[in-house]
Amino acid sequence: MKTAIYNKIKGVVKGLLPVYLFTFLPLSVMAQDMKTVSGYVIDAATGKPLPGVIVEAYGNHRYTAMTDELGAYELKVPEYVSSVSMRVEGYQLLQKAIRTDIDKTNGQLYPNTFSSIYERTTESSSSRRAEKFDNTAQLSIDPLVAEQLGADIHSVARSGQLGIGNTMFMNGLTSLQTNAQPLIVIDGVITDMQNDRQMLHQGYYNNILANLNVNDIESVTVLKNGTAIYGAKAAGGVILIKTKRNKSMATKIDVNINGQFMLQPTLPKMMGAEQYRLYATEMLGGLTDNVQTMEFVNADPTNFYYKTYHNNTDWTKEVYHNTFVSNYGINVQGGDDVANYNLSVGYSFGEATQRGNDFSRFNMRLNTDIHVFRGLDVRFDAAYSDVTRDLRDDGAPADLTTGTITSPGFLSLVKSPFLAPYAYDVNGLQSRYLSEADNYLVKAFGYGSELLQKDNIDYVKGVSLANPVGILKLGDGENRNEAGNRMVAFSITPRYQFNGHLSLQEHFNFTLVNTNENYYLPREGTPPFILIANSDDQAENMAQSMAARQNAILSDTRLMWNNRYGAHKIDIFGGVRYQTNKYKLTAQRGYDTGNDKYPSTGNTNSKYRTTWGADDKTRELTWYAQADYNWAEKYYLEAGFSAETSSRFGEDADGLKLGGVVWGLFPSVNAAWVLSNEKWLANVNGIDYLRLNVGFDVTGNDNIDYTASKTYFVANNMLNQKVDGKSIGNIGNTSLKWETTNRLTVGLEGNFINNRLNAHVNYFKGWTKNLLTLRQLAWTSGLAESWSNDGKLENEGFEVGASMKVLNLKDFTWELGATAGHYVNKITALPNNDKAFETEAYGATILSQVGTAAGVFYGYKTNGVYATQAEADADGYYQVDSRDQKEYFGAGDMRFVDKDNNGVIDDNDRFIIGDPNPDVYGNIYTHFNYKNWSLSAVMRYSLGNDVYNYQRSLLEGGSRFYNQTTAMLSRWTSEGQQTDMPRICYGDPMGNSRFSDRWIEDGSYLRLSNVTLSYAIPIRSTYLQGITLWGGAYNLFTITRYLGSDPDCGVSGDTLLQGIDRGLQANSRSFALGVKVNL
Amino acid sequence: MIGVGCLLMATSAMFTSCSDLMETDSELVEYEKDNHLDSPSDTVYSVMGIIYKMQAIADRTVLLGELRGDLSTTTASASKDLKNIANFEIDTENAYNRISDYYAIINNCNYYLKNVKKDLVRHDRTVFEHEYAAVKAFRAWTYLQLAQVYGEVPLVTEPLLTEEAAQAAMQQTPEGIVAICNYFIDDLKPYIDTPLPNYGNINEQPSRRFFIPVRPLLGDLCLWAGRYQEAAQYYHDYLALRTNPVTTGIDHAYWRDTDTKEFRNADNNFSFSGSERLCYIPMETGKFYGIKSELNELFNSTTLNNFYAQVTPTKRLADMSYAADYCYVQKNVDGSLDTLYAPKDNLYESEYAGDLRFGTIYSKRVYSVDRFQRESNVLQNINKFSNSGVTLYRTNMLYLRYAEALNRAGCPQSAFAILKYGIYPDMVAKYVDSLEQVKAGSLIDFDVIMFTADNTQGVHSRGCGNAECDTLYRLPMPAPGEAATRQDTIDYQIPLLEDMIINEMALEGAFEGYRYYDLMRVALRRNKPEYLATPISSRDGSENATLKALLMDKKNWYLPRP
Repeated sequence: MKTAIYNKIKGVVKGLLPVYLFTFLPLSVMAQDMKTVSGYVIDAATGKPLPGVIVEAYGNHRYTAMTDELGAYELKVPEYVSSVSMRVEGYQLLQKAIRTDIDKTNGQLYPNTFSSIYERTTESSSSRRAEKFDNTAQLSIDPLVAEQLGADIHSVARSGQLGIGNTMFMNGLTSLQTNAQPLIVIDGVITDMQNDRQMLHQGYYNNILANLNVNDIESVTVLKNGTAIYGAKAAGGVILIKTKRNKSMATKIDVNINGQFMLQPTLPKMMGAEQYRLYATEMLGGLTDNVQTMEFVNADPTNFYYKTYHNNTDWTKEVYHNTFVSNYGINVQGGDDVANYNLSVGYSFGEATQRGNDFSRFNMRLNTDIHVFRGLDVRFDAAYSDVTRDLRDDGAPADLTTGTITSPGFLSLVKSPFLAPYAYDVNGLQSRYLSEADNYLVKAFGYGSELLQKDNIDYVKGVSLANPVGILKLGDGENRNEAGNRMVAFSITPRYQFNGHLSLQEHFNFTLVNTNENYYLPREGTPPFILIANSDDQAENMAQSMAARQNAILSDTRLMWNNRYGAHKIDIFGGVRYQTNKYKLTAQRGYDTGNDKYPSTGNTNSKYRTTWGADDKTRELTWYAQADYNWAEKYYLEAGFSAETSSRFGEDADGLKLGGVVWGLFPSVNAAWVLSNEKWLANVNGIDYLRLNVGFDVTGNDNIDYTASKTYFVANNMLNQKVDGKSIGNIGNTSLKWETTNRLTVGLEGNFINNRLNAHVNYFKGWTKNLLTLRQLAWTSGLAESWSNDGKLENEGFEVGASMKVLNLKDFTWELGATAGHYVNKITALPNNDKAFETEAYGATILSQVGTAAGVFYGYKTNGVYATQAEADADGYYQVDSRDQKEYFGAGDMRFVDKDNNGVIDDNDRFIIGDPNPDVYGNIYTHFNYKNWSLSAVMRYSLGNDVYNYQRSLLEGGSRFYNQTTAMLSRWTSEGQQTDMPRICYGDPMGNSRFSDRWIEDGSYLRLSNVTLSYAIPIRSTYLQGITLWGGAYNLFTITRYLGSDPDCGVSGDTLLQGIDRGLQANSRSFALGVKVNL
Repeated sequence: MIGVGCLLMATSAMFTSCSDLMETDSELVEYEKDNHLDSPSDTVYSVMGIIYKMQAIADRTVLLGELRGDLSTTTASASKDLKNIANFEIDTENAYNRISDYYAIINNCNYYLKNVKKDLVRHDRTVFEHEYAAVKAFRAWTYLQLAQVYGEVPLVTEPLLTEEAAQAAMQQTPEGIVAICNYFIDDLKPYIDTPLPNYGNINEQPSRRFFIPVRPLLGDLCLWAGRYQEAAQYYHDYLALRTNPVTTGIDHAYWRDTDTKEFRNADNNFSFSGSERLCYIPMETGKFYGIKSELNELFNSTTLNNFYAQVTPTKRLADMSYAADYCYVQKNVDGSLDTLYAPKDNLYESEYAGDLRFGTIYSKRVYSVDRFQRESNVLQNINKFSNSGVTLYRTNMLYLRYAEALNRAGCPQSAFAILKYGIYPDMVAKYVDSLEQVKAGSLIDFDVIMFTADNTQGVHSRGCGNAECDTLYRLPMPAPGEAATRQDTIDYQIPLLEDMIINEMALEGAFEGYRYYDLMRVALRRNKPEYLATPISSRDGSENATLKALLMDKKNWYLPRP
């Protein structure tokens, strides 16, 4: 055994030897011995010989042959050639190691209805690719990437809003307090996804990727390593998006039309009118003696208010509906030997299942490749898109102490079902006038401090709820609730080819993203609300507007050289990239427009009008180089390097100081070894291909607050905004620098059993240091904290995948595959001497501490409900309120776990009660093809991730007059009652609904996210190349124990805010029908 | 072509210097390099920026001085932080213990003082002279606060613009109050005659009141440093200034119905936010705009706190008030005058007993309780707080400090005149003997036209009726034969009169945050911790031995630093 291994190693060393030698050897010395390779190529299904198959030395098109009618070929290749590739239209490319034990190198080709498993060239870096985004009704690429690259990207849907996309993470979580999502590179342009930008509408995210039409995208590639040229930005991973370009001379016209019918999402089951009336009455019992005098409990049908308070409204029906989304697109490709073009125009529009949210997009893209004269080619690309949306606030409010609930979706759950959306007139008939905000509880809240007034009607502060129909109807209109996003991108890329080996290219790009948003909360139907907790400042409605403009300029100049010296192949490129990015935002918010006719901020009361903005300018300069070398298509080695300087870096940061600035250096090295091309493996049956790759990348995250390294002054608006003060806002951390992630990747990919089985595994371990974190400043500075590089974390994980060609018959093929991804994230150091810190959001506490993963939930554990007072007394637990007074838990209260056994339930009794990071996630997919029919299905899954169901904590908290789910029917009401739902009590003085394990749920799910059946009508004429009809079903079913609408949900792309469900509109079941016509 | 331009730019930058290329600016913030402080608007903004930072500690100046004293305490509904202040259990988590807020003021002051082009002259006028002096005063005042609150603190007078500098400053050997006062006395002295800036009215408030007058501040610094003669001089010079005289005024609390001897309705004509107020930190009138003073919500029942006040007077304050006598002069039918004293029992309100200041500014009503009432049924009102700002200097308190300084400077008769008669030429002639008049000299020199009985009264009269006629209220005198020399008499009088002055300060300045530091100052001066420990530990009427023991150790007088 030992000898065998020794021999293998010797073989490797021998193989690698020329790498060291070739530089010293004169080229002429490398005389080549030739050998002959021959064999047959057959169809794997039928066994019939395939003529016309191009067989060439793998990766080297100088040695090419073609099969004859018998499928036979003979190819003379240099001695070092170890594998050949075989390709022909309609079949998958095959790479085949040259066998030495038998004299034939035969190939069996599979039809290209299977996913491809070989590439024409091999790289030493490792990547995964998603492609073929045909026959889909998706508006944005990110959900499709999630479907195809299930394990490679941990992807979470942002919501069911149209085209809002997914939050993505790669290689674990590589940052704590700054953006950790991957870098997106669209056709070579690093594109700002505006991840940190705040929008006016709650629950809305401005998805820049929605500017790309899915039909324009050729492929999406995820880089596992070899990311040096993106070094300072690559720590969160790199995703390359390539748009379609023309490749053939024939003119092709594709027309795509499809429509998608979306069903209402599943919503929590809320109590009906009478159940709620009982709930409200019970809660009032603790507030007033006068319950019986309140109009809504009066059951006398002759009472004037009877009709007002005796409806059974399902408010969700007013807010959600089934809806239709349609897509139209045309794509024209063509060209000649001078110019090639790909022009596409698309239009999509539709409404989301939650009313008041719609989407329309017009997009146009022209990609051209022009051959100017001998040696000079120019690529010229232009793209324009305009996304316009109607929006409303979405989700449970983050802050319940101020404002009023403005999200129609959440209101439709919590609004009292005994009320009606339209008012009753004096004759007791329902009118077409909207009901005002509810005020049926006013009597219980007495007088004075708890009431607010509007139009001489009293409302209860924070209790009266708006009429969601009012927000939907009166908020409609261009100048009310609309967001627009226009993206213009323009690229020109001249490339001069000096000779067959050397070329120079300049890529210039200009991208402009204009975003504007209007927000209007109508006055009618909305109760007055307070602006700041514990203040007198109040308002009746609100208008906001925002306009932002981002423009980015990129200049990327690159010199490229490549050559082959026998078995040695070398590719080198290097260049300089200069980027500027400007983002300017102006926004204004005001209150009290007086009426709903003039919804602009200009009509708001100047007393509470505020403006804010952003003016970010960054510049970066990067020098980069990359060299690829391979020997005999067996041993691959790549070394890359980049040096970036950025206006974000502090002037005294550690790093290379040159030219008066600091440079971050980012090398990466990776190597691949195609084991199956070694003689000792080429002859082993059952193993068709085996490749090992190893990489080590040093990457950075330069997403530093662009002013953090500078000392600066800020304006302080003061004395009722009558004057500005100016004071020190920051003392610059001049040593501020990028976060650094070192990552080791090891991967193995293989094809087995006649290429029937493809399997890959990729392991990574990443060490991130210099985390951008907020560090406490010395108190003598007068400032609380500043950004610094402090803290470390680690990520370790793997992705595995396998796909199987289960059946390959003449007319029928079946492929089945699955992937699984896993990562473990661990914080290993924190600033302020490893001091743990807590982040509060949506009522949750998120703990960051050394030794645990980022984003873990930190709260109380519960152990049932006290059925009797005696049980509670036996425990004798109490809490201390903000006034330092003891309050004892009683019958009907939650029994919290007293971690430190001291009788008092306080902060010290908190545990880590959940971890939003999944154990395993990925996909399972299958494709069937029968003649012109094809059927594919994708399931996505996530296991072991916890979700904090914030919305449920409000729907089952029993602490407010919000309508509750039917689960609350089993609430504790009487001594001795055994239940797991505590008593209800206005304001929840005992904190029964506090952040605890009651709201942490297992978010594991398995979802059939996509089933698509298509049929290519066999028509072929001069004018019509083909018609494909297809039908798709999305989210057909989800297997989960999660109680919310959708376990695949999130509130934010922030690392620390993962796994929180605020009840944003959920993705729902939908059905699509489409036709694709090729002219 | 732009691409090529960029390329050229990038390449040339690589070979020359990239630092210019990488430089960006912003319209939202102003980088330090761009902040030149050489135009009037620049410096106005910077000065307002300092006031903005002072807003953060405004409430604290009152709460830390009041709650730790013996005149106020917390109610059951007080927050834990306030309760802990009252109990001297303040940790570094306490919201009112944020030392960095003080240094925020100081750092901004230091930056201004270091960088303003103070010698810039335009139209024969030094442009920034007024602001420069005002900022020096802000800084000195803040240090005095710091020293009172924290005992010893690093004395930093250079701007800290890097974390390293801030760290180094934090490690500096801290200075005590005397050293700090001495430093700033020298620092401020050159600016005693520099007028304060005046930007007119801002948000309907007189901006000149936002600035700390230099002389009273110097008086305070000298008083803490034990330089009494100088202190008296600074106070005097400020009050007696002919161009802007500051008189005690004749506002007072009074019985409306002394004639009928019913003693039902007591009243006052005080205005703590009007002419009394010499300097204050302007605050926002709504939370929406920034920091609004919470004092009104803490001391009073309002709709915002559901009528739950968190701070309430102590028994000790009531006792002190009770111990005083309200003296009034009744004109009889025959034209003769009778000096009478208001009764102390069976009054319409028990708080009206003795000194009326407490009774007239404080009221408490208890209503019947509804089972479900979420609002407090105890309505408390203390009429001393203004929404527009937190007072730093007030006329009558300044007179009392002037008295304290005069007394310690060896002029007890003059000091006593301030309490009982009001200090003005007529009264000086009448109640200060010639020897002391000579000794005091310019310390008690007031303009005969500006300072008269029409605008000046003894501070004691503000709550105790006609103090001048009150024969029970007198300058302590040694028993016959006890004092051999005049100096012995003075030495006998000084501590006793000091007690009276401090007592008067309590009655006059209750709830305003002075008390704890007044006790501390005298306790330090006499090196007798019990001067502070005894009254505070018995604020509830009986002595709390644990608290007393705690307070007998000076180190517990101060807040812990982080």
